[in-house]
Amino acid sequence: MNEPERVVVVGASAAGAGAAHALRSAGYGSALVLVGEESDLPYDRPPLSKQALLGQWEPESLQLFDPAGYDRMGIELMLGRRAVQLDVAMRALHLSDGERLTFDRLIIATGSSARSLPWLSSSPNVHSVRTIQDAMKLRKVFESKNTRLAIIGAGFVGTELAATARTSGLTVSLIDAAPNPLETRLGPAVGRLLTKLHRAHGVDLRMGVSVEAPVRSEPGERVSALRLSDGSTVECDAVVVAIGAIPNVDWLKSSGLQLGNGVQCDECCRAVDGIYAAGDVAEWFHPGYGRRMRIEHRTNAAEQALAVATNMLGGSVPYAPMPFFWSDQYETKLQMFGMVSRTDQVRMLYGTLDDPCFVLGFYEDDSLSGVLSWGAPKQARQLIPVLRSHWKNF
Amino acid sequence: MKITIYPEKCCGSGQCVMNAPAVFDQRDEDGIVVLLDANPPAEQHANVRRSAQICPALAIRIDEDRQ
Repeated sequence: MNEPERVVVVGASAAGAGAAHALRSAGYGSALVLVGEESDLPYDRPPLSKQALLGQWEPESLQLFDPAGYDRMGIELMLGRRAVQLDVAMRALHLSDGERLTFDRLIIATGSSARSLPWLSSSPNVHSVRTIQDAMKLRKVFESKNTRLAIIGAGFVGTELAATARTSGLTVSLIDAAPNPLETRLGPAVGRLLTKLHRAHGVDLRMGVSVEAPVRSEPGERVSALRLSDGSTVECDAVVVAIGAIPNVDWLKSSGLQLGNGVQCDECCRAVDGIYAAGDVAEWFHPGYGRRMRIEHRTNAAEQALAVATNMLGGSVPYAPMPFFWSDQYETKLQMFGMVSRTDQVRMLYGTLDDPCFVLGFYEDDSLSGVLSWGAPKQARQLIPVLRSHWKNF
Repeated sequence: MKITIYPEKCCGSGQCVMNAPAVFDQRDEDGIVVLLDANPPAEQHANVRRSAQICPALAIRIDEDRQ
């Protein structure tokens, strides 16, 4: 394969900006353009539900890379412009300002967007947390200790927000249709631990219910309460919708690329010849698990960016990461290695439930599928070789 | 090469230890990064760069030109 002469990376976040830097580190010396919808320099998202809301970190400390580095490394930034269409045959990208960018290699890293509730989201006191702008708006809400915050969705973002809001002294209601927080992802055993944790910190948990309707004077006005499916109401001054994310693939619908739950790629993260995907938007074939998957966690964005850069420059290295996430909940850090399902059996591998730190093992048919560290990451990490030994196809 | 770590940013993912075990470790009690060698020899540089690129908390900084 010839060395490319013009690489375009679309999406300027952890995966996209990481891939651009990785291409330069790997010695790629020709034209390199990084396109991003947001006008801010590439920044890091995990702190948006934590330090950025507490006012501990200002926007400057969220930057992913040295601002002076883009110029120095010859990475041309085209920010504040969204990709609207891809022409694979012509090797051209159309942008929202009418510009047409040609390339000979492309990295798609357009990430994902917060899922919204259209019947709710038009009100001025309804928030989501995906961008730095979202976080700065919500930070103002967090500054008033009298705020009653209703959070819809008890997944990763919802539970972290609840913890951050309680740490800030807000009154918090956390609403989800599942019986416990994060149960849909991590099963009932971990879900019950999270119920206990959040309850101990004073969160008003409304589990096993859905939101029926907002209470407001008219559509588009402020929401003063949420009516729930069990007939109760939650009075609130602000609402956050945290019900997951959807991959940003709408702009690719006319491209002819295979779109499933993201941009479908082979095991080298290649969609078609010369076009690759990385991060939240990529649904690639994981050779260890023998199936396609899409991972919305921060570590994968960085790691997949490196893999794509290597493969784009002539490598053909299958991308087979050990899935990992972490989540900060009050003083506790949760970390998970592996891929688990809510029906896996859970056993204690280190410590006890009465200890401040322990490690839980997840088992599918007696085979270890994942380990969850509750404040004991080193002990959990040491089980990675066992997890990897169960990969059947690799 | 000079390495600086930011333990207050570290999320304990252990990615650095897996990529460069001669340079990084984790504290037993909470998994936070420990720097074993702030000026690693040349044969470690590629591993260290990968550790910094992958670190999900941006807790590792490398100055290539410093000692």
